[in-house]
Parts: sequence; C-alpha cells; structure tokens
Amino acid sequence: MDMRSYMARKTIYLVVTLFAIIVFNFFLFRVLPGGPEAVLVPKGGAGSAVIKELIRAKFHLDDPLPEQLLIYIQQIFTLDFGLSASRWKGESITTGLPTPIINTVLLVGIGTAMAIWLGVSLGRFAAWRRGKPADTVGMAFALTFYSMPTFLFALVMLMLFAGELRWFPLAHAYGEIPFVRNPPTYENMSIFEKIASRLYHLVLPVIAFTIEVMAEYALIMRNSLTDVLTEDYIVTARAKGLSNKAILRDHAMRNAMLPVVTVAAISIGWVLGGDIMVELVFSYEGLGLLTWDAVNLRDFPLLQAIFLIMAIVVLIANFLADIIYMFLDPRVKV
Amino acid sequence: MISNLTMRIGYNKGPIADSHSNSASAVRIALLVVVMMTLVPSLGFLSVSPGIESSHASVCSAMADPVANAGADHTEWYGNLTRLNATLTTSDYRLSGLTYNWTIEDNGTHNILSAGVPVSQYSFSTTGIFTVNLTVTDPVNRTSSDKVVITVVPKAELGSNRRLDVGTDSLTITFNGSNSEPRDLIVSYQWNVTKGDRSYASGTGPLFNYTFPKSGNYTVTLTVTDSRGLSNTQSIYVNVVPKPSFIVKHWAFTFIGIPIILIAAFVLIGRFRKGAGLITKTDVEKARLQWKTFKKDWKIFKANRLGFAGLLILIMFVLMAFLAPVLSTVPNPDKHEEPRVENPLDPTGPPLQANPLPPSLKKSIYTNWTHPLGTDHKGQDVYSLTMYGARASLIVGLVATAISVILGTLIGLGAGYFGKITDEVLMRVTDFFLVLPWFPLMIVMMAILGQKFIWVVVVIGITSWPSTARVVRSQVLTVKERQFIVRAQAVGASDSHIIRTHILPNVLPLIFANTVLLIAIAIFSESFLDFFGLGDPGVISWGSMLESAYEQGAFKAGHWAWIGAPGLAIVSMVLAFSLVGYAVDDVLNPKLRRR
Repeated sequence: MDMRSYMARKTIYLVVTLFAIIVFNFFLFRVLPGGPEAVLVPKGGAGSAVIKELIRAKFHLDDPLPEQLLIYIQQIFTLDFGLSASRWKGESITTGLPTPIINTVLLVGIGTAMAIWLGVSLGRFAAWRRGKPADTVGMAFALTFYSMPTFLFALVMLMLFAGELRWFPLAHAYGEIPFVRNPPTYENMSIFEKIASRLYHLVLPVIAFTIEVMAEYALIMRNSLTDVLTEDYIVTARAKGLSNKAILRDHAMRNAMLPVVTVAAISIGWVLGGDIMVELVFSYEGLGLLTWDAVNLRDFPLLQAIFLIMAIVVLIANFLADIIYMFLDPRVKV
Repeated sequence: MISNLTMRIGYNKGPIADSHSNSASAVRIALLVVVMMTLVPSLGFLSVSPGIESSHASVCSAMADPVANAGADHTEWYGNLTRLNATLTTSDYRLSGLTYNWTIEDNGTHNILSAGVPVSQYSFSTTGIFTVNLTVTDPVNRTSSDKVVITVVPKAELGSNRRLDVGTDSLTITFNGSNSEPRDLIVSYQWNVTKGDRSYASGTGPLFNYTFPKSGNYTVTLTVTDSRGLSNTQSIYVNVVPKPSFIVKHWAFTFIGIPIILIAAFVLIGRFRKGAGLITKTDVEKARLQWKTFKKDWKIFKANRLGFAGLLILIMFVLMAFLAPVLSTVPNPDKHEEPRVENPLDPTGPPLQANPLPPSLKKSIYTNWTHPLGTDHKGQDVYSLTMYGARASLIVGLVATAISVILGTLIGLGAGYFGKITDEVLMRVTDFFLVLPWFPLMIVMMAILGQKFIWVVVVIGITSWPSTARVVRSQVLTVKERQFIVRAQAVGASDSHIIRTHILPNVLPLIFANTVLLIAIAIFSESFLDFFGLGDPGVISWGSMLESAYEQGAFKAGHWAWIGAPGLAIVSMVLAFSLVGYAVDDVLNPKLRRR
C-alpha cells in the first residue's frame, strides 16, 4: 500500500471517529440526571419555574433531539461551546477555557517530555544490563512507581515537601515566588517573576507526574530493547567489531524506539487521567481540576466541552503517531 | 491627633500606602481630607456638651431634610420575625442621631417601635396585609415618613424530604400539614402529588394519605389558605428508590456464575451429542501433556525471582481476603466503632478517649478489642479495615478484568478472524473507545449510575477492554496465516470450530500477561474512584480509607499507620500483579528470556 492511500484512509478514520465522538458526547450528557436549569436556579425561589423555562430554551433543551444535535455540531465548528452553568455562571465557556488549558499544557508538556527522556534512558540502561543486578534494581524501581497510584505518590510529596518542610507552595498554578515574602498579584508581576512563580508552582506536580509516567516508558523501552537485542543483526554488528555504543545507538535503539512512539500516543488518554489525579491533589487549576468541578457541580455544557477537547487531543495524537510510525518504519501494514 | 489617625488609616489601607508610586503623598493628603470631613461632624454628635450641640444646630440648618425609606414591600411567613429595614434612609446625620419610629397596626393594637438604629424586628400576631409607617426624626427635629406594605401569609409545613425504598419501606405515607401556622386561621389545605409534568393525586384536609405507585422522584405540594384568602405553597421531594435489580443484587453470580454455567453446559452438550463419555482417553493424554508443559513453565517462572516474589505476595493477599474475619482484631470493623468518651469532670475539655487513636497493642477498656494500627476518625480499627479491604480490591481486579477480557477477546477475535468489513467496523469501535478519555468517562458514568460497588466494577471493566481487543486481533492475524488453519478450512471445519479449537488456544496464553497487567490497572482505578469519593460508601476499601485519612488530616497529625497501611497494601498488591504479569510474559514469550 502506498503512502498516499494509507494517509487518506487514516484521515477518513479520523473523521469518522471524530463524528462518533461528537455524537456520543452529545448523548452522554443528555442522559445525565439533573441539568443546567437545576444548577442555575436555586430551589423554591420566586418565579423559578419561569426562569427554568427560559434556561431550557436558552440551552435548546426542549427542541427535538436531532435538532439539538445539529445545533450542537454547528456550535462546535464555530468554537461556541455555550454557557457554563456553574464555574463562570452564565459566561461563555470559550472565553474561560484557555487559562486552564495553558496550565495543563505546561504541566503535561514538561512532565511528558521529561518522562520520555528519563524513561527511555532508564529502560536502555536496564535492557543493556539484562539479567544483571542493575537490571533487577532498575526494573524493581520502575515497577514500584508504576504500581503506586499517582494520587498516593502526589499526596506524600505534597505533605512532605509543601506541608512539612514548606519548600514549595501548597496549591494553585501560580501566585508565590521563592524567597519573596509578599509577592505582588500575578497581574502585577514582571515577566521574570511570572516565569519564576509558574516554575515554583510546577516543581512538585511535574515531579509527581514525571515519575509516574516515566515508569511506563522505562518498562516498554526495556521490553522492546531486550527484544531487539536478540535479533540476528545485532549479533552481526557485534561480529563486525562495532563498539557497544555504536551497536546500541545505530542498530538497536532505532528499532526499539518504535513501540515507544506508539505507546506515547496511545497513552495520552491515560496521561490526561494521571493528570487529573495530580491536578486534584495539588489544586492546580488545569483541565483536570476543571473536569472535577464540572462533574461535582453538574455543569454539563462545560463537561461536554472538556470531554470533546480531550477526545480530540487523543484522536489527533493517535493520528500523528500513525503517520510518524509510517515514516519511521516503512514496513508497516494496516 | 489627626496625623496619628491618618497614619493608622494609611496603614490599614495597606496596598495604597505601601505602593512605592510617586502618588503616595497625594494619596495621603486626599485621605487626610476625607478623614477630616467624616470625623468632624460625627465627633460633634458624640460629645455631650450643650455648647457644641447648639453651635451645630446653626451649622446644620443649612443642610437638607432627611428622606425616609422603609424598604421594599415584601411577603413574610407567619411566625417569622419580620425585618423592618430602613438602611436606605438618607440624611446628613446618617452615622448617628436619627430616631426611627415604626408604627404598626396589628390586630387592633397600635404598636410603636422606636429605635436609634435603622433595623428593627417585629413579629405579627396574625396573618394579613399590614401597612407599617416609618417616621425618621433627626437631631434637629426634622421628620420624614415612608410606609411599607408587609403581607403576612400562613406558613405551610409538611415535614422534610423523604426517601423510600421499594420493598423495605411501606409506600403509604401520611403527610401531616396540621403544623402549618396559624393553625386556627387556616381554612383550607390543598395537597398535590406530581412527578415530572404529571399530576398524580390531590386532596384536602390537614392530613393526607397517599400510596406511591412506583419508583421515581415525586414532589408533594401543600397549599394552605387562611380566612383572609392569603395562601402559601410549600413542597417536599419524595424519592421512591426502586428495588435493586437482579444484577445489582446478585452481580457476582451474574458475572461469574452464569458464564461458567453456560460454558459447562456447552461442553457437556457437545460431549453427549458426540456420544463420547465424559472423560475420554484423549482428554487424559491432553491433561498429561499440559501438566508436563506446566511443570516446565513453572521451573522458568520460579527462576524469575521478582515474579516469584510477586506470586508469594499475591498468595498472601488472597489468604488475607479469605481469612479476614480470623485475622482481624475487630469483627465487622465498619460496624464497630471505638466510642469517643467525654471527660465527666470537664465535658468541654478534650475527650478522654480521642478518635483517631494512636496504634496500641493494649486492649481497649471500652470495647475489649486491640487496635495494633490505631483507629480512624470514627473509631474503626485500621488494621482490621486493611484486612477486609483486600476483598474489594481483589474482587474489582478479577471481575472487572474478566469483563474487559471477555469483551476484548470477543471483539478482537471477530475483527481478526473475519476481517474485511467486520474488522473495519469493530476496529473503529475499538479506536473510538481507545480515544475516549477514560478517566473523565469513569467519573461521568459513576455520576450517572450511582455509587454502587457493582457499577464500580462494570465501569472499570468496560473502559479497559480496547487494549485487549487490539492485542487479540493482532495475535489472531498472525495465527490465521498458519498452515494448520488453512488445512482445517480445507477439510471443511466451521468457523466456530476453528476459533474454538485452533485459534483461541493459541491466542489465550499470549494475552494472559496482558490480563494480569489489566488487573493491576483495575485495582488502581478502583482505589482512585474511592479516594475521590466516587466509590460505594458501604464497602470497605483501601481507597476510601485513604480518602478519610486525607480528609481528616492524618498527615498533619502524624498518624502514619492510618495512611501507611492502606497505601502500602495498594502498592504491594498492584506491584505483585505487575511482577507476576511480567514474569508470565517472560515464560510465554521465550524470545524475551536471556539466552
């Protein structure tokens, strides 16, 4: 199969899955008990029935379902996610979303980059010393963190370094600056202060996030590399008299990195999940915390928007992984 | 003195005075002016010297008259204290010195409330529409009046919201409206039962009997009207909870028992149809060969030290789950609580027996039980809870994984074996579930389905099957190309026969390792759901123990056993499953072994 038809097929899959997600997203939040009118209108207030009617009309809740679906699709393509029912009462979701998205991208981006780098290094270290004590220790270390629920590890870190030792801030995405007693509000900070404040608040969440995700990459890298190292061409390379470094870098790692690419893309969904735990424990104002609040406050329009954004991110990551994979490994067949 | 005050106020308004801008001095001067303007007249009123009083009268005569404002007309329940609010009154003497006189005609009596503050309270002796006059008098005897209309309506009272369980509670409820006030003036009671838009029943009289026909959320509304024609409507919610469905009640049987019975029935029917005995010679031979392979595999497994250690830990946990009643120091630890005992000599002081208790091997003098790891905030024994917690984790791990493996295997088999359009459709479905953000999905589904243990299991099961489906499909694709499949097809074997006897036995060992890892993830997810309060509150689990420890600040209190016991348990159980999973992978995929 040539490259062009492969890409065309993948693109069609992308569109089909995207549509399925939109429809699923639409119906999932229609079956949830309690709606925006129950959240926005306090119980038993005067004239609440009329206001509820108005709100139902505003959110198009009384139209027939297919019509609602059409309106919904139209709104998505104009990036209009409707009005939030709780978080920013009655305000547009589209204006409120960028801040938490930026916060999450910072946390997940830095965390994932570090996790891949550290995980691949650890996996390579262990695989090259396969069966030796270094391998056992390295893998036991990776497995222990892999087995530890993210929230537990994050909690211990929070309580130890932020609660007991007070080295790091207890909560929020920004606000405090190291060694400054009374920091100005975020809006009044200079650009360096802003960066310092963000980094200061990022340290603990990023470490918690990285160590959890790193373990997975280390395990995959180790498995994949041990697999590759048994191949005949490695024996050939050794017979040619290549140095260990050259074998590892030029022959083994190139093939062994393939599964890491796939897993990196697929695990983005899991990464977002781990991110929710970290954000909840550190009260870090990102998408994860927003999801949590939206569920607790029964804010369906907001939940719907978050859900859609997360699904699309995973979808696109998978698509890109497929394309990258095809360039890395031309043997690939669908 | 004034400069001193200015400095104090400047200090209080921290951000303005502390800002290092050039306008700081200007701000200070402005503040000084403001302070002088507000303080000078009020200082005058506070003094009692008549000389100053008269001098002020002459100064103030040039000022404006007060304008009384009695607030907005409103409706009040009978029996409530009515708040008379004149804070919107404007006058030059706003800070002090105004006299507020409220004139109230109530049931023939003429009441005058006089106060120096704008807010007063009054309790009306009957229902009706009352006009209350407000007269404001300022220190120089200028007056102004305003009136406010207060409608006092009867108060309908029909109790609090109710929750009824079909099957355990009687569904016939007597609602009592006779506590509505004022009792002697109410002439009619009107009851209404509605659900959604539909009206179910209505009635009159202070007592109202109703039998709820089926489950649902009902609204019961009571409208009371008094002899003056004033009415009030109040409503309560009655939530009639349906009987737990068969699946919820017997979920373990449904998810484990029924498949086992079905499989056994299929095998038996197949045997009898062929006319063969229950155990044939081939079976014996097969079993012997399998036993041989197993012994070989076991040798390899034992050589993997980490995997063997994992297996030992697992056996320990299984024993813990089965022997929990024997091992724990407290029977039914979630029911038995260590009482918090007040000090009889000083009831307000710290209790003699505080919860949570620190670890102690001594028997409690109150309940005669030991608490080797202390107790939690309710007084429940942490050690025994940890023992019982193994049950929830193991059940979730095994059953959720069973659901996920069955679903994943069926879909993977179908997609891989039949190919073409079946493959396309099934793999698109798989892709769809793979990209759904499982974590928010889990949270949302728990919010929809309600916090029942069974739903925790099901939700974890159906969010984790896509990876199994993918692995199975790829394995089926490689097995399908093998020679023996082509031969079987050539001799005319049916698809179901080929899948059952040729493909499944070759695929299952390969997904076994994946399965063990899925168990680890399921346990993980369960503890997360519990930790964030989405699990079943009626089930002892490590996640909910951690939740209560976190909520109650066990970290701050240094109660490490309370966090350590369940935390360590989760980590070691997941670790054990992971270790076993990797070791099994090592056994079944010989390529990974060190040559």
